[in-house]
Amino acid sequence: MQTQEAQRKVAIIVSKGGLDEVYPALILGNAARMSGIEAVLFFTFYGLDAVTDKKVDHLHVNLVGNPASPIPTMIGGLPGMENLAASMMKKQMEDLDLPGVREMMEMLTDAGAELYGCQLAMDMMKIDQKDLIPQVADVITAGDFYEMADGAQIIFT
Amino acid sequence: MNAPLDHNATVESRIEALSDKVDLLLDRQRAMSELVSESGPILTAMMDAGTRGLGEWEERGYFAFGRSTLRLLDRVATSYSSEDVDELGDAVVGILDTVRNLTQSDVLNVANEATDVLHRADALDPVGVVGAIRKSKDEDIQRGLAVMLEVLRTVGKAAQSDSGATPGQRRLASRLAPSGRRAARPVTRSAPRRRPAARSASPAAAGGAPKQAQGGLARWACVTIPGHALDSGGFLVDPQTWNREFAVLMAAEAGIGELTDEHWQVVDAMRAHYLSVGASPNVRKLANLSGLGTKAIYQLFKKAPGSTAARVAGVPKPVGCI
Repeated sequence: MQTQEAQRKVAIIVSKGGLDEVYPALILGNAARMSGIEAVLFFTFYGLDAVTDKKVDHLHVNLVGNPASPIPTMIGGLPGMENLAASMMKKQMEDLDLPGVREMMEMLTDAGAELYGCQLAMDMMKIDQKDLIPQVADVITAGDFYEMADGAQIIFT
Repeated sequence: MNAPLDHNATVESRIEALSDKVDLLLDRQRAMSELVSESGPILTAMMDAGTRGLGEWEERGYFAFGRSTLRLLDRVATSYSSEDVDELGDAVVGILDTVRNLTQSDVLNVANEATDVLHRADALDPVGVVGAIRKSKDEDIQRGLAVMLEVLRTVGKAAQSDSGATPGQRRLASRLAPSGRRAARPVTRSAPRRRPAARSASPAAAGGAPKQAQGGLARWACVTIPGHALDSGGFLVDPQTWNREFAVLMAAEAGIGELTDEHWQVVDAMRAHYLSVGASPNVRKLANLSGLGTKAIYQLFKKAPGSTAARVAGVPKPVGCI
């Protein structure tokens, strides 16, 4: 480790708030830290749900407009279906000993990843930083994000 | 009176010997002059013929050709480097093969008929998309399409194989490869033209798998700890051979420095889990098992804590995404 290696870095943009859409980003971020890669996660638009204190434990699975969904779109649009699918998926994740989204956020920051909220999206959705989970380090603009992502590989989810 | 007689005899015998030699010399001289007189006309005729021949060559333009060839060579030498010529040397065999294949009579026939079509191009009606579809019913066109597709496939395949033998093939491959593959290649040079020297300086890059992280992982292939066999990732091959001395040596290799009580707490928890379950715990489990939490694990075993702790604890690399 004494040799000077180029420090790898990933910057992950989370723009969607479905359970199935947030997890890959969190897993990628965590895997980066486990592999000794620096990680920055930037939550914007519906991705903000994943770091909003009131919503983080109630993320749903996107069933409509999702051809890979096991439930037909017509049925998936019925009330309560997303809840049902989300609870099914959460159960499967528990069986695999996957931590919940909130715990993943804690793991990420403990592991040294940095979480940021998007200023513009929060203004639009009328969310304040105090509504976010404490793991979010700061609320930043897209320009700030690019500065932080300097030298990083950027992943958009 | 005896002495002068003796003297005369000696002189006579010497003269006799000399005259023998003179005869020999004379014979040779005669032979030489005969040879010259006989060969003279032959040589003259040869010179005549030679000059006439050269004159004919000149008339036929051989020398003009030679002179322009020299001029051409001069231009080649001034505008190309010796590396370029070396590269060309590799290509010449390929060129000859190609030319031989191209000049097979059946290939030439096809080319000949194709040029016939070009001569008659004015007489052909323009064809749109619908026309093209209608014409594709024609058996000959179908066969032609099949041939062209096959040729395309071969070209594509040749362009894709990074393991191409010659630098030229590799360069072609890198230019024609899908953009994703091209982006994966490291851009190490800013010079617009790739010089052969630069290529040979980075054989690893040309060989493919130009992963950025490889530098870090490849390092472990060279690490050895006396008395313990390590795999290419730096993990102990047989976890049963682990001992505390090994852990100390491995910690030094991993850049941890001195192992504190907390380090040992993690290492012991990791070994205990491996020995009871048969699998290395991931970072999350390790954080819980050691009772230290994720944050501490990342601080104790910097950079890839799961792998680093597993190396020190002499257990296989943890599997999983968490």
